[in-house]
Amino acid sequence: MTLAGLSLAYLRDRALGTALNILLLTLGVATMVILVLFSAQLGERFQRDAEGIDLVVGAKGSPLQLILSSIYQVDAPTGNIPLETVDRLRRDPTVGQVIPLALGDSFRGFRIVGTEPSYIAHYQGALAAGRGWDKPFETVIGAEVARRTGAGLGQKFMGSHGLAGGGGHEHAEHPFVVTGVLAPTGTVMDRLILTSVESVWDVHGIDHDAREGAAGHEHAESAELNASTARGHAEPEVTALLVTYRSPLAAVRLPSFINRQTSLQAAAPAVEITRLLSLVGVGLDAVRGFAVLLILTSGLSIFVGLYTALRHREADLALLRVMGAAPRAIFGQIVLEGLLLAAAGAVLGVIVGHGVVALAGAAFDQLRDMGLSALRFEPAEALIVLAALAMGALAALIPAAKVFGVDIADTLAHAR
Amino acid sequence: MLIEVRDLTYRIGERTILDLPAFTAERGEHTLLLGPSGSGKTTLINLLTGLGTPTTGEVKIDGQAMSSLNPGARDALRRRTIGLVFQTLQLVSALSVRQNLALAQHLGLGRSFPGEVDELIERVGLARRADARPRELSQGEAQRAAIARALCTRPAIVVADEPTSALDDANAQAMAELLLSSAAATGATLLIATHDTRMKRRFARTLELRPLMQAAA
Repeated sequence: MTLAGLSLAYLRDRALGTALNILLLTLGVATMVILVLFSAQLGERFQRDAEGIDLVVGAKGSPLQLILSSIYQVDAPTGNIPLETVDRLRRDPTVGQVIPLALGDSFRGFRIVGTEPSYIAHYQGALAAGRGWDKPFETVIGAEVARRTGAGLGQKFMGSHGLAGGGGHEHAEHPFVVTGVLAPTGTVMDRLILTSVESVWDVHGIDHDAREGAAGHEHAESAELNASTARGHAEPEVTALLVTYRSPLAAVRLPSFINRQTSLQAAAPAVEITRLLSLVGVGLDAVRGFAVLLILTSGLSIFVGLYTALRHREADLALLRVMGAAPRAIFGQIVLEGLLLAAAGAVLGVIVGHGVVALAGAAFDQLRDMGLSALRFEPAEALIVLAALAMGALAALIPAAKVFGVDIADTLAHAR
Repeated sequence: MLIEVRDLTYRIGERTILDLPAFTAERGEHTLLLGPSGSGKTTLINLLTGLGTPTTGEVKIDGQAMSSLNPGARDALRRRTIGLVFQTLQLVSALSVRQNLALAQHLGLGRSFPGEVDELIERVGLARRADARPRELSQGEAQRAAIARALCTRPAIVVADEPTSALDDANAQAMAELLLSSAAATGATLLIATHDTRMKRRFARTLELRPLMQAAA
């Protein structure tokens, strides 16, 4: 039995108080850890998905909605824009790359996105199996889609109208087929079903002359073909365009140029994300404040617990001194009690925090879609643990300092 | 000389609590410290064990001047040479009897000797109560545990302050017996302070303290 062992023995001796102290700290630390995991992973995810996209062009509406729907694939699109916009932007010398997106359908909650192979290239996707799409209704599915639906190469499926899972009528007459499966990229693409823009038009009965030609001549991976074949018929449209600048000049000129057009709007992901995070940030700050309050409360409860415990322990303190323990050693023993409480609370808090994130990920598909992982640890968590330990030691300092004031002879006189 | 006291006085303000011109004890000379309440027994024990500082005079324990050491050195000297038994302050509350002894050994000797601990617990008749907490023990059991605790650091001197006053006759006798036999077994020298005259006939040497009136009287 050492003094460190004595610290444990005292904690065990008042088990209920110890458990409550630990529980309170666990709640505070867990809340903090959950916050850190959410904000770090969400922030990172936001950055990664929007990387390299300077501008999104879509129908008029909320710019944030446009960004959310076309980059993150989480909100409803603002509407459609004429296909010719693609060509007009591509002719602009300040524009580097234009990726068209055609949205509208989904399969079991996974969006079917009509686009071009450049979309896959943009997110540095690689085929894990199969090949890219050649003909209409051929699709390449993201890694997450493959994992969750169990679909493999050659799998046929029906898209249903609408972006939410389950709802909408099925386009039974136009089955899609999986020709390729992508390797995981950790981006939004993992949970998308990619196909050609024409496939999306076909599903909705928009005549663009491509279907007839598709079997015959080679369906080159060029947008001009789609655009030109579409021309002259009933308005083939796309939902949004992901634009990359070639020259910084575009940033000055292009957004205002586009926004002047009556039906179009341009939104910069960087601006909208910052706006979104600052909106969400207020909520996060409130929760963070609450977590700090919880941790401080638990610090106070450790302080009160130790303080009252030590008032009942004056005889013990005197006896320890009589047995030859130096005041410094007893001081350390008491501080260790605070530290042990804090360590238990901090470790449990981290475990509970990650556990809650894992449960939340399992319970809510949207969170898993966001790429929320319970197994990732953030450096900030180490800071939280350190802060909790420091607080435990600090809470023990004042009660522990009492040992220096103990007059053994006096205590003995009262105790015997 | 194991214990040596010269010209020892202890005053609080004008009041003299203790005035002891001389007292010595050789190794093996068990001494009974007698006197009614207020005669300064506890004060003498505090001074002998370095828990208090004398107003004048000197206390030497095993040749070292306890009274003139700094607090840290006093703690060390007490730790090395003296085991203390009090009437009520017996055991650390959160630890079992066995753990109390182990802690005492760890503090006094730097490590614990489990075999020795068990032997001592056996000797004081608490073998079946070794894992009991202090609050689960009777007054007599706790006192016996305290004796074992005081002895487990192999002290040259065991100082006991009123070890029997809370006990009935039979238990007091048993306790005196236990102190003497344990001291014999471990080679410790006893100094027992008591107002309990029941113990008188068991000790050859006694030191009798008389209550001092106020200095002015």
